[in-house]
Amino acid sequence: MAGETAWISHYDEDMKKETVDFNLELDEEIDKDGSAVSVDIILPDDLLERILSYLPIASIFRASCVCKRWHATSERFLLNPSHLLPQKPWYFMFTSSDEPTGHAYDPNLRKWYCIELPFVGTSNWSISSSYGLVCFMDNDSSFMDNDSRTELCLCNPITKSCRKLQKPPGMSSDYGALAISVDKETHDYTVAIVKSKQVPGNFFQWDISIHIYNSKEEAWVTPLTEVLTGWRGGEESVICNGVLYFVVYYTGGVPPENRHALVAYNISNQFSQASLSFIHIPCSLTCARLMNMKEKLVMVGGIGKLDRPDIIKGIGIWVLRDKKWEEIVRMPHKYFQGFGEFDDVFGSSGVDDLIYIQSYGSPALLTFDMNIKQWKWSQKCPVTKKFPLQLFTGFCFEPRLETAP
Amino acid sequence: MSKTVKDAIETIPTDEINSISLSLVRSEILTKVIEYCKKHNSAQMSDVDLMDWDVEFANVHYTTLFDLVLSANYMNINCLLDLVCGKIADMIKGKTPGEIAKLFDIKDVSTYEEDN
Repeated sequence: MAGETAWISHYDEDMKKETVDFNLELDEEIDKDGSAVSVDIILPDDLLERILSYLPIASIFRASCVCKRWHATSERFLLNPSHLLPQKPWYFMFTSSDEPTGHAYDPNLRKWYCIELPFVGTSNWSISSSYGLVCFMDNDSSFMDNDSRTELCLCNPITKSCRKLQKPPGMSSDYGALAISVDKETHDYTVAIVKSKQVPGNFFQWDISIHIYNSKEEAWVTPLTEVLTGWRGGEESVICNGVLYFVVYYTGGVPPENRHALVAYNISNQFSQASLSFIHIPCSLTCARLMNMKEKLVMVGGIGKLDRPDIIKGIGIWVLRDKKWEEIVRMPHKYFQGFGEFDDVFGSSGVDDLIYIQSYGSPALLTFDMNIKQWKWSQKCPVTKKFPLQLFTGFCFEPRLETAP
Repeated sequence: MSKTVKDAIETIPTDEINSISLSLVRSEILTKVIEYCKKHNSAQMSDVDLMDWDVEFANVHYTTLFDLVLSANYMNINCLLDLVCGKIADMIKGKTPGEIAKLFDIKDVSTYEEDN
Protein backbone atom coordinates (compact mmCIF):
# COMPACT_ATOMS: atom_id res chain seq x y z
CA MET A 1 0.00 0.00 0.00
CA ALA A 2 3.03 2.26 0.30
CA GLY A 3 2.85 2.79 -3.42
CA GLU A 4 -0.63 4.19 -3.11
CA THR A 5 0.44 6.69 -0.47
CA ALA A 6 3.32 7.85 -2.63
CA TRP A 7 0.90 8.39 -5.50
CA ILE A 8 -1.38 10.41 -3.26
CA SER A 9 1.43 12.59 -1.96
CA HIS A 10 2.49 13.29 -5.55
CA TYR A 11 -0.91 14.46 -6.34
CA ASP A 12 -1.56 16.30 -3.15
CA GLU A 13 1.14 18.76 -4.08
CA ASP A 14 -0.70 19.54 -7.28
CA MET A 15 -3.91 19.90 -5.31
CA LYS A 16 -2.56 22.50 -2.90
CA LYS A 17 -1.94 24.87 -5.77
CA GLU A 18 -5.40 24.50 -7.17
CA THR A 19 -7.74 23.99 -4.23
CA VAL A 20 -10.43 26.61 -3.98
CA ASP A 21 -11.67 27.21 -0.47
CA PHE A 22 -15.27 26.14 -0.66
CA ASN A 23 -16.52 27.76 2.51
CA LEU A 24 -14.75 31.06 2.96
CA GLU A 25 -15.80 31.54 6.58
CA LEU A 26 -14.39 28.19 7.58
CA ASP A 27 -11.35 29.30 9.61
CA GLU A 28 -13.16 31.86 11.74
CA GLU A 29 -16.13 29.63 12.45
CA ILE A 30 -14.03 26.72 13.65
CA ASP A 31 -12.41 28.88 16.35
CA LYS A 32 -15.79 30.07 17.58
CA ASP A 33 -17.16 26.57 17.90
CA GLY A 34 -14.06 25.28 19.63
CA SER A 35 -16.03 24.15 22.62
CA ALA A 36 -18.59 22.11 20.62
CA VAL A 37 -18.25 18.35 20.23
CA SER A 38 -16.32 17.36 17.11
CA VAL A 39 -18.85 16.14 14.56
CA ASP A 40 -16.52 13.34 13.62
CA ILE A 41 -16.94 11.74 17.04
CA ILE A 42 -20.70 11.44 16.71
CA LEU A 43 -20.73 10.65 12.98
CA PRO A 44 -21.36 6.90 12.67
CA ASP A 45 -19.32 4.86 10.17
CA ASP A 46 -22.26 4.04 7.95
CA LEU A 47 -23.08 7.74 7.64
CA LEU A 48 -19.48 8.52 6.75
CA GLU A 49 -19.64 5.80 4.10
CA ARG A 50 -22.81 7.31 2.74
CA ILE A 51 -21.05 10.66 2.35
CA LEU A 52 -18.07 8.93 0.68
CA SER A 53 -20.38 7.34 -1.85
CA TYR A 54 -21.00 10.77 -3.37
CA LEU A 55 -17.31 11.44 -3.94
CA PRO A 56 -15.24 10.84 -7.05
CA ILE A 57 -12.60 8.19 -6.51
CA ALA A 58 -9.73 10.69 -6.25
CA SER A 59 -11.50 12.48 -3.39
CA ILE A 60 -11.98 9.17 -1.61
CA PHE A 61 -8.21 8.61 -1.79
CA ARG A 62 -7.74 11.95 -0.12
CA ALA A 63 -10.41 11.18 2.46
CA SER A 64 -8.51 8.01 3.32
CA CYS A 65 -5.55 10.20 4.35
CA VAL A 66 -7.47 12.27 6.88
CA CYS A 67 -7.11 10.03 9.92
CA LYS A 68 -7.11 6.36 10.96
CA ARG A 69 -10.86 6.02 11.14
CA TRP A 70 -11.43 7.65 7.76
CA HIS A 71 -8.68 5.49 6.32
CA ALA A 72 -10.35 2.31 7.60
CA THR A 73 -13.79 3.45 6.46
CA SER A 74 -12.55 4.48 2.99
CA GLU A 75 -10.72 1.19 2.53
CA ARG A 76 -13.78 -0.79 3.54
CA PHE A 77 -15.93 1.32 1.25
CA LEU A 78 -13.60 0.95 -1.77
CA LEU A 79 -13.44 -2.83 -1.41
CA ASN A 80 -17.08 -2.89 -2.42
CA PRO A 81 -17.05 -0.81 -5.59
CA SER A 82 -20.77 -1.08 -6.23
CA HIS A 83 -21.14 1.72 -3.68
CA LEU A 84 -19.27 4.16 -5.86
CA LEU A 85 -20.98 6.63 -8.10
CA PRO A 86 -20.32 5.75 -11.73
CA GLN A 87 -16.90 7.27 -12.46
CA LYS A 88 -15.96 8.81 -15.76
CA PRO A 89 -12.83 7.12 -17.08
CA TRP A 90 -9.45 8.82 -16.80
CA TYR A 91 -6.91 9.50 -19.55
CA PHE A 92 -3.22 8.86 -19.10
CA MET A 93 -0.96 10.97 -21.31
CA PHE A 94 2.72 10.16 -21.75
CA THR A 95 4.39 13.50 -21.25
CA SER A 96 7.97 12.36 -21.23
CA SER A 97 9.42 10.59 -24.21
CA ASP A 98 11.64 8.15 -22.37
CA GLU A 99 10.28 7.74 -18.86
CA PRO A 100 7.18 5.99 -17.63
CA THR A 101 5.87 9.13 -15.99
CA GLY A 102 2.95 10.97 -17.36
CA HIS A 103 -0.11 12.86 -16.38
CA ALA A 104 -3.52 11.38 -15.81
CA TYR A 105 -6.64 13.43 -16.40
CA ASP A 106 -9.57 12.92 -14.04
CA PRO A 107 -12.71 14.29 -15.72
CA ASN A 108 -14.76 13.79 -12.54
CA LEU A 109 -12.82 16.52 -10.75
CA ARG A 110 -11.35 18.09 -13.90
CA LYS A 111 -7.83 17.77 -12.59
CA TRP A 112 -4.49 16.44 -13.84
CA TYR A 113 -2.36 14.24 -11.61
CA CYS A 114 1.26 13.32 -12.16
CA ILE A 115 1.56 9.55 -12.03
CA GLU A 116 4.23 7.03 -12.64
CA LEU A 117 3.59 3.71 -14.25
CA PRO A 118 4.97 0.79 -12.27
CA PHE A 119 7.45 -0.39 -14.88
CA VAL A 120 9.96 1.00 -17.30
CA GLY A 121 8.45 1.49 -20.70
CA THR A 122 7.89 4.12 -23.31
CA SER A 123 5.01 5.34 -25.36
CA ASN A 124 6.03 3.16 -28.28
CA TRP A 125 3.89 0.36 -26.97
CA SER A 126 0.54 -1.07 -28.01
CA ILE A 127 -1.83 -0.41 -25.16
CA SER A 128 -5.22 -1.84 -24.33
CA SER A 129 -7.29 -1.40 -21.19
CA SER A 130 -10.34 -2.97 -19.65
CA TYR A 131 -12.03 -2.57 -16.26
CA GLY A 132 -9.10 -0.92 -14.52
CA LEU A 133 -6.35 -3.11 -15.96
CA VAL A 134 -3.98 -1.86 -18.65
CA CYS A 135 -1.97 -4.13 -20.90
CA PHE A 136 1.22 -2.96 -22.63
CA MET A 137 3.01 -4.67 -25.51
CA ASP A 138 6.39 -3.62 -26.84
CA ASN A 139 6.20 -2.63 -30.50
CA ASP A 140 9.88 -2.10 -30.82
CA SER A 141 11.82 -2.95 -33.92
CA SER A 142 13.15 -5.92 -31.99
CA PHE A 143 9.96 -7.44 -33.31
CA MET A 144 11.83 -7.87 -36.55
CA ASP A 145 14.44 -10.16 -35.03
CA ASN A 146 13.96 -13.88 -34.98
CA ASP A 147 14.53 -13.79 -31.28
CA SER A 148 11.17 -12.27 -30.54
CA ARG A 149 11.61 -10.17 -27.45
CA THR A 150 7.99 -9.24 -27.05
CA GLU A 151 7.57 -7.53 -23.75
CA LEU A 152 4.10 -7.92 -22.36
CA CYS A 153 3.05 -6.29 -19.14
CA LEU A 154 -0.21 -5.93 -17.25
CA CYS A 155 -0.83 -3.33 -14.56
CA ASN A 156 -3.34 -1.34 -12.59
CA PRO A 157 -2.15 2.29 -12.86
CA ILE A 158 -3.93 3.26 -9.63
CA THR A 159 -2.77 0.53 -7.28
CA LYS A 160 0.52 0.08 -9.17
CA SER A 161 0.26 -3.70 -9.05
CA CYS A 162 2.05 -5.03 -12.05
CA ARG A 163 2.79 -8.34 -13.71
CA LYS A 164 4.84 -9.43 -16.68
CA LEU A 165 3.08 -11.93 -18.89
CA GLN A 166 4.77 -14.71 -20.74
CA LYS A 167 5.12 -14.02 -24.42
CA PRO A 168 2.93 -15.72 -26.99
CA PRO A 169 4.74 -18.47 -28.85
CA GLY A 170 5.65 -18.27 -32.48
CA MET A 171 7.84 -16.22 -34.67
CA SER A 172 8.26 -12.51 -34.66
CA SER A 173 6.01 -10.37 -36.78
CA ASP A 174 5.99 -7.07 -38.63
CA TYR A 175 2.85 -5.78 -36.93
CA GLY A 176 1.09 -6.67 -33.70
CA ALA A 177 -2.25 -5.53 -32.32
CA LEU A 178 -3.21 -5.93 -28.68
CA ALA A 179 -6.56 -6.21 -26.93
CA ILE A 180 -7.59 -7.10 -23.39
CA SER A 181 -10.97 -7.88 -21.90
CA VAL A 182 -11.65 -8.27 -18.17
CA ASP A 183 -14.68 -10.14 -16.88
CA LYS A 184 -16.49 -7.74 -14.53
CA GLU A 185 -17.67 -10.47 -12.19
CA THR A 186 -14.78 -12.91 -11.95
CA HIS A 187 -11.96 -10.46 -12.79
CA ASP A 188 -10.49 -13.09 -15.11
CA TYR A 189 -9.04 -11.57 -18.24
CA THR A 190 -8.41 -12.45 -21.86
CA VAL A 191 -5.54 -10.96 -23.85
CA ALA A 192 -5.54 -11.21 -27.63
CA ILE A 193 -2.65 -10.47 -29.98
CA VAL A 194 -3.04 -10.30 -33.75
CA LYS A 195 0.28 -10.72 -35.52
CA SER A 196 0.90 -9.92 -39.16
CA LYS A 197 3.98 -10.96 -41.04
CA GLN A 198 4.68 -10.48 -44.70
CA VAL A 199 5.08 -13.80 -46.51
CA PRO A 200 8.72 -13.86 -47.61
CA GLY A 201 9.07 -13.10 -51.28
CA ASN A 202 5.45 -12.10 -51.74
CA PHE A 203 4.56 -8.43 -51.41
CA PHE A 204 0.80 -8.93 -51.24
CA GLN A 205 0.47 -11.87 -48.91
CA TRP A 206 0.45 -11.70 -45.17
CA ASP A 207 0.51 -14.38 -42.49
CA ILE A 208 -2.05 -13.48 -39.88
CA SER A 209 -2.09 -15.27 -36.54
CA ILE A 210 -4.36 -14.75 -33.56
CA HIS A 211 -3.07 -15.60 -30.10
CA ILE A 212 -5.34 -15.72 -27.06
CA TYR A 213 -4.25 -15.73 -23.42
CA ASN A 214 -6.62 -16.69 -20.65
CA SER A 215 -5.80 -15.71 -17.06
CA LYS A 216 -7.59 -18.76 -15.65
CA GLU A 217 -5.51 -21.23 -17.62
CA GLU A 218 -2.43 -18.98 -17.71
CA ALA A 219 -1.65 -20.22 -21.18
CA TRP A 220 -1.60 -19.03 -24.78
CA VAL A 221 -3.51 -20.71 -27.59
CA THR A 222 -3.28 -19.93 -31.28
CA PRO A 223 -6.77 -20.64 -32.59
CA LEU A 224 -6.21 -19.12 -36.00
CA THR A 225 -3.50 -18.72 -38.60
CA GLU A 226 -4.45 -17.57 -42.06
CA VAL A 227 -2.92 -15.98 -45.12
CA LEU A 228 -4.56 -12.80 -46.33
CA THR A 229 -4.03 -11.45 -49.79
CA GLY A 230 -3.85 -7.73 -50.24
CA TRP A 231 -4.62 -6.96 -46.60
CA ARG A 232 -2.47 -6.83 -43.49
CA GLY A 233 -3.20 -6.34 -39.83
CA GLY A 234 -1.87 -3.31 -37.98
CA GLU A 235 -1.82 -2.18 -34.37
CA GLU A 236 -5.46 -1.43 -33.73
CA SER A 237 -7.74 -3.99 -32.12
CA VAL A 238 -10.33 -4.35 -29.38
CA ILE A 239 -12.43 -7.08 -27.76
CA CYS A 240 -16.11 -6.30 -27.59
CA ASN A 241 -18.80 -8.70 -26.42
CA GLY A 242 -16.60 -11.74 -26.88
CA VAL A 243 -15.59 -10.73 -30.42
CA LEU A 244 -12.09 -9.65 -31.38
CA TYR A 245 -12.10 -6.80 -33.90
CA PHE A 246 -9.02 -5.54 -35.67
CA VAL A 247 -8.36 -3.05 -38.44
CA VAL A 248 -6.73 -4.28 -41.64
CA TYR A 249 -5.02 -2.16 -44.26
CA TYR A 250 -4.95 -2.61 -48.00
CA THR A 251 -1.48 -3.25 -49.31
CA GLY A 252 -2.27 -3.56 -52.99
CA GLY A 253 -2.25 -0.67 -55.42
CA VAL A 254 -5.64 0.98 -55.72
CA PRO A 255 -8.02 -0.32 -53.07
CA PRO A 256 -11.45 -1.71 -54.08
CA GLU A 257 -13.32 0.77 -51.87
CA ASN A 258 -11.39 2.05 -48.89
CA ARG A 259 -7.88 1.49 -47.64
CA HIS A 260 -9.19 0.21 -44.31
CA ALA A 261 -11.48 -2.65 -43.38
CA LEU A 262 -12.54 -4.28 -40.15
CA VAL A 263 -12.14 -7.96 -39.34
CA ALA A 264 -14.17 -9.73 -36.67
CA TYR A 265 -13.21 -12.98 -34.97
CA ASN A 266 -15.39 -14.67 -32.39
CA ILE A 267 -13.20 -15.68 -29.45
CA SER A 268 -15.89 -16.50 -26.94
CA ASN A 269 -16.81 -19.84 -28.46
CA GLN A 270 -13.94 -22.09 -27.52
CA PHE A 271 -15.08 -25.23 -29.26
CA SER A 272 -16.06 -24.37 -32.77
CA GLN A 273 -13.64 -23.05 -35.35
CA ALA A 274 -14.54 -19.46 -35.94
CA SER A 275 -13.36 -17.75 -39.09
CA LEU A 276 -12.52 -14.19 -39.97
CA SER A 277 -15.33 -12.05 -41.27
CA PHE A 278 -14.73 -8.78 -43.08
CA ILE A 279 -16.80 -5.71 -42.32
CA HIS A 280 -16.66 -2.63 -44.54
CA ILE A 281 -15.66 0.75 -43.20
CA PRO A 282 -18.18 3.57 -43.87
CA CYS A 283 -15.92 5.93 -45.82
CA SER A 284 -12.36 6.69 -46.73
CA LEU A 285 -10.48 7.07 -43.46
CA THR A 286 -7.01 8.36 -42.69
CA CYS A 287 -6.91 6.30 -39.53
CA ALA A 288 -9.29 4.27 -37.40
CA ARG A 289 -9.33 3.86 -33.64
CA LEU A 290 -11.47 1.15 -32.06
CA MET A 291 -12.96 1.15 -28.59
CA ASN A 292 -15.37 -0.86 -26.46
CA MET A 293 -18.04 1.46 -25.14
CA LYS A 294 -20.35 -0.52 -22.87
CA GLU A 295 -19.93 -3.60 -25.07
CA LYS A 296 -20.69 -1.68 -28.25
CA LEU A 297 -17.97 -1.34 -30.85
CA VAL A 298 -17.24 2.31 -31.51
CA MET A 299 -14.80 3.65 -34.08
CA VAL A 300 -13.27 7.10 -34.21
CA GLY A 301 -11.97 7.77 -37.68
CA GLY A 302 -10.13 10.51 -39.50
CA ILE A 303 -12.11 11.32 -42.63
CA GLY A 304 -9.90 11.69 -45.67
CA LYS A 305 -10.40 13.99 -48.65
CA LEU A 306 -11.81 12.22 -51.67
CA ASP A 307 -8.91 13.10 -53.94
CA ARG A 308 -6.27 12.98 -51.21
CA PRO A 309 -7.29 10.22 -48.78
CA ASP A 310 -4.13 10.73 -46.74
CA ILE A 311 -5.16 14.25 -45.77
CA ILE A 312 -7.60 14.56 -42.88
CA LYS A 313 -10.56 16.90 -43.27
CA GLY A 314 -12.62 15.87 -40.28
CA ILE A 315 -13.20 13.30 -37.57
CA GLY A 316 -16.25 11.09 -37.22
CA ILE A 317 -17.55 8.66 -34.63
CA TRP A 318 -19.45 5.51 -35.63
CA VAL A 319 -21.01 2.61 -33.75
CA LEU A 320 -21.37 -0.89 -35.18
CA ARG A 321 -24.89 -2.29 -35.06
CA ASP A 322 -25.66 -5.63 -36.71
CA LYS A 323 -22.48 -5.44 -38.80
CA LYS A 324 -23.50 -2.01 -40.12
CA TRP A 325 -21.93 1.29 -39.14
CA GLU A 326 -24.15 4.02 -37.78
CA GLU A 327 -22.68 7.51 -37.67
CA ILE A 328 -23.07 9.09 -34.25
CA VAL A 329 -21.46 12.47 -34.75
CA ARG A 330 -18.82 14.48 -36.60
CA MET A 331 -16.41 16.71 -34.72
CA PRO A 332 -17.56 20.32 -35.12
CA HIS A 333 -15.11 22.40 -37.10
CA LYS A 334 -14.20 24.70 -34.21
CA TYR A 335 -12.85 21.78 -32.19
CA PHE A 336 -11.05 20.38 -35.20
CA GLN A 337 -9.40 23.75 -35.66
CA GLY A 338 -8.75 24.02 -31.95
CA PHE A 339 -6.06 21.35 -32.21
CA GLY A 340 -4.02 23.47 -34.53
CA GLU A 341 -2.27 21.07 -36.81
CA PHE A 342 -3.96 17.73 -37.21
CA ASP A 343 -2.01 14.95 -38.83
CA ASP A 344 -3.80 12.22 -40.72
CA VAL A 345 -3.09 9.93 -37.78
CA PHE A 346 -4.16 10.81 -34.25
CA GLY A 347 -4.85 9.12 -30.94
CA SER A 348 -8.25 8.26 -29.56
CA SER A 349 -9.40 6.04 -26.75
CA GLY A 350 -12.62 5.63 -24.82
CA VAL A 351 -14.50 3.68 -22.14
CA ASP A 352 -18.17 3.61 -21.10
CA ASP A 353 -19.61 6.89 -22.37
CA LEU A 354 -16.52 9.05 -22.70
CA ILE A 355 -14.23 9.29 -25.74
CA TYR A 356 -10.90 11.10 -25.65
CA ILE A 357 -9.28 12.48 -28.78
CA GLN A 358 -5.82 13.96 -29.00
CA SER A 359 -3.53 15.05 -31.75
CA TYR A 360 -0.02 13.63 -31.47
CA GLY A 361 1.49 17.06 -31.84
CA SER A 362 0.20 18.67 -28.66
CA PRO A 363 -1.11 17.88 -25.18
CA ALA A 364 -4.55 19.27 -26.02
CA LEU A 365 -7.26 16.78 -25.09
CA LEU A 366 -10.84 16.75 -26.31
CA THR A 367 -13.66 14.66 -24.87
CA PHE A 368 -16.96 13.54 -26.30
CA ASP A 369 -19.69 12.32 -23.96
CA MET A 370 -21.77 9.75 -25.89
CA ASN A 371 -24.60 9.97 -23.41
CA ILE A 372 -25.31 13.70 -23.62
CA LYS A 373 -23.62 14.16 -27.03
CA GLN A 374 -21.36 16.88 -25.73
CA TRP A 375 -17.89 17.94 -26.82
CA LYS A 376 -15.64 19.45 -24.19
CA TRP A 377 -11.98 20.37 -23.89
CA SER A 378 -10.24 18.93 -20.85
CA GLN A 379 -8.58 21.24 -18.36
CA LYS A 380 -5.31 22.43 -19.84
CA CYS A 381 -2.58 19.85 -19.32
CA PRO A 382 0.15 21.21 -17.05
CA VAL A 383 2.81 19.96 -19.47
CA THR A 384 3.79 21.98 -22.50
CA LYS A 385 5.55 20.98 -25.66
CA LYS A 386 9.29 21.19 -25.09
CA PHE A 387 10.61 20.67 -28.59
CA PRO A 388 8.99 20.82 -32.04
CA LEU A 389 8.98 17.08 -32.73
CA GLN A 390 7.73 16.02 -29.32
CA LEU A 391 4.85 13.58 -29.57
CA PHE A 392 2.07 13.05 -27.09
CA THR A 393 0.11 9.83 -26.87
CA GLY A 394 -2.03 8.24 -24.22
CA PHE A 395 -4.79 5.87 -23.33
CA CYS A 396 -8.09 5.84 -21.53
CA PHE A 397 -8.64 3.68 -18.45
CA GLU A 398 -11.11 3.15 -15.62
CA PRO A 399 -9.78 4.07 -12.16
CA ARG A 400 -10.46 0.92 -10.16
CA LEU A 401 -8.88 -0.52 -7.03
CA GLU A 402 -10.39 -3.94 -7.11
CA THR A 403 -8.77 -5.42 -10.22
CA ALA A 404 -5.23 -6.75 -10.16
CA PRO A 405 -3.17 -8.44 -12.85
CA MET B 1 -41.47 10.62 5.56
CA SER B 2 -39.51 9.79 8.65
CA LYS B 3 -39.15 6.06 9.02
CA THR B 4 -38.37 6.47 12.71
CA VAL B 5 -41.65 8.28 13.30
CA LYS B 6 -43.48 5.81 11.06
CA ASP B 7 -42.09 2.86 12.99
CA ALA B 8 -42.99 4.47 16.29
CA ILE B 9 -46.53 5.08 15.14
CA GLU B 10 -46.87 1.55 13.88
CA THR B 11 -45.58 -0.16 16.98
CA ILE B 12 -47.36 1.87 19.68
CA PRO B 13 -51.17 1.64 19.93
CA THR B 14 -52.65 4.90 18.59
CA ASP B 15 -54.57 5.96 21.67
CA GLU B 16 -51.42 5.81 23.76
CA ILE B 17 -49.44 8.22 21.60
CA ASN B 18 -49.00 11.62 23.10
CA SER B 19 -45.55 12.38 21.92
CA ILE B 20 -42.84 10.51 20.09
CA SER B 21 -39.44 10.85 21.62
CA LEU B 22 -37.01 12.73 19.39
CA SER B 23 -34.71 13.75 22.16
CA LEU B 24 -31.58 13.71 20.06
CA VAL B 25 -32.82 16.39 17.70
CA ARG B 26 -32.45 20.05 18.69
CA SER B 27 -35.51 22.22 18.19
CA GLU B 28 -33.93 24.51 15.58
CA ILE B 29 -32.90 21.52 13.50
CA LEU B 30 -36.26 19.82 13.96
CA THR B 31 -37.87 22.97 12.62
CA LYS B 32 -35.75 22.74 9.46
CA VAL B 33 -36.53 19.02 9.10
CA ILE B 34 -40.25 19.70 9.39
CA GLU B 35 -39.93 22.48 6.84
CA TYR B 36 -38.27 19.99 4.45
CA CYS B 37 -40.89 17.31 4.99
CA LYS B 38 -43.78 19.73 4.55
CA LYS B 39 -42.34 21.07 1.29
CA HIS B 40 -41.74 17.62 -0.13
CA ASN B 41 -45.16 16.35 0.87
CA SER B 42 -47.09 19.31 -0.40
CA ALA B 43 -46.97 18.34 -4.10
CA GLN B 44 -47.44 21.97 -5.01
CA MET B 45 -44.12 22.44 -6.74
CA SER B 46 -42.80 20.94 -9.95
CA ASP B 47 -39.82 18.59 -9.75
CA VAL B 48 -37.47 21.23 -11.14
CA ASP B 49 -38.64 23.88 -8.67
CA LEU B 50 -38.35 21.37 -5.85
CA MET B 51 -34.75 20.65 -6.85
CA ASP B 52 -33.98 24.38 -6.82
CA TRP B 53 -35.64 24.65 -3.42
CA ASP B 54 -33.51 21.75 -2.16
CA VAL B 55 -30.33 23.50 -3.31
CA GLU B 56 -31.36 26.63 -1.39
CA PHE B 57 -32.38 24.57 1.63
CA ALA B 58 -28.99 22.86 1.80
CA ASN B 59 -27.09 26.09 1.33
CA VAL B 60 -26.44 26.52 5.04
CA HIS B 61 -23.49 26.75 7.37
CA TYR B 62 -21.56 23.49 7.61
CA THR B 63 -22.39 23.06 11.32
CA THR B 64 -26.09 23.14 10.42
CA LEU B 65 -25.42 20.59 7.68
CA PHE B 66 -23.76 18.26 10.17
CA ASP B 67 -26.72 18.63 12.55
CA LEU B 68 -29.11 17.97 9.68
CA VAL B 69 -27.29 14.83 8.55
CA LEU B 70 -27.33 13.37 12.06
CA SER B 71 -31.01 14.23 12.52
CA ALA B 72 -32.03 12.90 9.13
CA ASN B 73 -30.11 9.72 9.93
CA TYR B 74 -31.74 9.37 13.35
CA MET B 75 -35.19 10.10 11.96
CA ASN B 76 -34.50 7.87 8.98
CA ILE B 77 -35.56 10.34 6.25
CA ASN B 78 -33.79 8.98 3.19
CA CYS B 79 -34.33 11.79 0.70
CA LEU B 80 -33.19 14.47 3.14
CA LEU B 81 -30.23 12.29 4.05
CA ASP B 82 -29.24 11.99 0.38
CA LEU B 83 -29.51 15.75 -0.11
CA VAL B 84 -27.37 16.63 2.90
CA CYS B 85 -24.80 13.85 2.33
CA GLY B 86 -24.39 15.07 -1.23
CA LYS B 87 -23.85 18.62 -0.02
CA ILE B 88 -21.26 17.55 2.57
CA ALA B 89 -19.51 15.51 -0.15
CA ASP B 90 -19.36 18.68 -2.28
CA MET B 91 -17.59 20.42 0.59
CA ILE B 92 -15.05 17.61 0.87
CA LYS B 93 -14.32 17.41 -2.87
CA GLY B 94 -11.98 20.33 -3.18
CA LYS B 95 -10.10 19.90 0.10
CA THR B 96 -6.80 18.39 1.12
CA PRO B 97 -6.83 15.79 3.93
CA GLY B 98 -5.66 18.48 6.38
CA GLU B 99 -8.51 20.78 5.46
CA ILE B 100 -11.03 17.95 5.76
CA ALA B 101 -9.69 17.16 9.23
CA LYS B 102 -10.13 20.81 10.20
CA LEU B 103 -13.69 20.89 8.87
CA PHE B 104 -14.72 17.81 10.81
CA ASP B 105 -12.71 18.89 13.83
CA ILE B 106 -10.65 15.72 13.83
CA LYS B 107 -7.87 15.98 16.36
CA ASP B 108 -5.99 12.74 15.93
CA VAL B 109 -4.81 12.83 12.33
CA SER B 110 -2.28 10.03 12.45
CA THR B 111 -2.86 7.41 9.80
CA TYR B 112 -1.77 3.79 9.69
CA GLU B 113 1.58 4.73 8.17
CA GLU B 114 2.72 6.90 11.00
CA ASP B 115 2.08 4.10 13.45
CA ASN B 116 4.28 1.61 11.60
